[in-house]
Amino acid sequence: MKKRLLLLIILTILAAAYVFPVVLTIVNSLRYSGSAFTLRQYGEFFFTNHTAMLYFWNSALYAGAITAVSIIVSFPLGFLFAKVRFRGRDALFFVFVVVMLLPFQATLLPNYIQLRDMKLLNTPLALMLPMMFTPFAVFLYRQFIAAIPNELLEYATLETSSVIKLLRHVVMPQLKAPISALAVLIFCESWNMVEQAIIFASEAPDIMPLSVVLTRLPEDVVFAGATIYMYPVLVVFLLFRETLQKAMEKFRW
Amino acid sequence: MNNKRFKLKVFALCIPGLAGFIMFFLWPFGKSLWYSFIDDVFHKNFVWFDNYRMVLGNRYFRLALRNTLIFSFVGVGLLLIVSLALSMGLVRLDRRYHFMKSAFFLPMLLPTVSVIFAWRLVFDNDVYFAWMKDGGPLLQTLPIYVLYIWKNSGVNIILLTAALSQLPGEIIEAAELDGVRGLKLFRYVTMPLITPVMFFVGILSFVNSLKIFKESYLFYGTNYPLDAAYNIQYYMNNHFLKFNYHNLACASAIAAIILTIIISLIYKIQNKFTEDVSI
Repeated sequence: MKKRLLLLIILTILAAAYVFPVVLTIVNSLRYSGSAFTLRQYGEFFFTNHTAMLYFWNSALYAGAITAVSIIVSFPLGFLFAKVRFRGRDALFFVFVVVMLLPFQATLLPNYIQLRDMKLLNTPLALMLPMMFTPFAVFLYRQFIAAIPNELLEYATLETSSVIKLLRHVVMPQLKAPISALAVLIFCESWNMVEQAIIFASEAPDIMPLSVVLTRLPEDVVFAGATIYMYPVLVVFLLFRETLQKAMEKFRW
Repeated sequence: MNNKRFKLKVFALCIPGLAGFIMFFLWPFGKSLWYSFIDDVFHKNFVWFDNYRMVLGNRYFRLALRNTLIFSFVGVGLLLIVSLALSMGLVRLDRRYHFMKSAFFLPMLLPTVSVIFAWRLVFDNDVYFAWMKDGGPLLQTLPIYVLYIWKNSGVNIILLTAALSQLPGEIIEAAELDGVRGLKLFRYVTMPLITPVMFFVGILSFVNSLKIFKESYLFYGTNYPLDAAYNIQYYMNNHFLKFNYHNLACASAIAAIILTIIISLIYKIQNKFTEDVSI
């Protein structure tokens, strides 16, 4: 019994340590040049640096659009890799996996060349298009669709010959939780975008997401900015905590 | 379900996604590969492996590669130990404390830029400054290790606790009846049972160790951090900024090739595992 209590105490301390940077950020956002508890930083953030919120909405636009498009576009591809047999399927999927695992710096030049040739550099599309086709979404979809029993799909194909109906009314309802988990992951990933913006939009300061602008704000308001920037993620986390956990338990090749 | 008409229809629906993937990843990757074999975009002379020879011979490339390897090796090791220890603790907890697990995977979702200021405060103390001056490379880059472990233990813990709580109870009980306990129980009973998951977690940790650039870049706030923190991602990023596209193209190609080899090996090994052990 004593051992259990000790374990509980140790784990509580460690869990607190993991959350500590968040708490430290919020606590620091409530201070302003010496005074202990004040909303002055937020005032400075919203009014003195009144353009800061514009960048927040840039971030929201990018993260929202990237999440929506990748969720829709990757869905049939996941089905293709999970349930349709064709020649070269495993090889093609292997390519997706390799690209997914590469760090951003390795795909940086290819992405840059393509965006330059399409004359999209320094436009919002440059920040969204590559991420909309992230192989990660395809990878996760394939995993979750593979778990749907074949018999169910076979049976449904007897009823309808429309693939769209099959995906919409048979596959999709099975995937409600995984899709919300996937959406959360992609949203957080694109909300966290930094390098893409610095590189693909270096000459268009107006279209930067707040994640980039935050590091350039005056030092006495960064903690308020940081708190505001993580607020949507904290909300999403609190809402989808369990869904996310359950979906990720099944995360495998 | 596998008749031709059906397949064609699925393919048709896949066109947007496939087109995007080809347009933004596959096709430009080919272009970048071509860049790595020519001297410059104006003359377009095919120079075979000259660029590669130059990159591999470069002092900073070697430094970066060495640092990356050290970081991945030490970092993955530490991360696996931390995640396994935390997971073993968490599964022993009573059900009503399971919500604590989420505290560990919150860092994964948080935008790096939001927490980096807090982390700078944490390391803004004399102990760390002393380490930075006189400590070895491991102590010098301690913040990056801490950030890496902090950010990535969540996924690992979710996967490991799921595996640990699904262990067949009879086997553990039988072992305990035979007097196998503590470390021995772990070494001879638990460990072999969770090896496949551990393997996957290891790969995931390795891949994530290559993706730690954003944290390092924002933490140091510069393109030229201290030598010990200068890794392959900095090398690539800086060559991009200097318009050295050929060097970068080579480095990209090298990274892709190394990863391809590693992943094919993993697939082979994993197939073997899943044949041997079925959980």
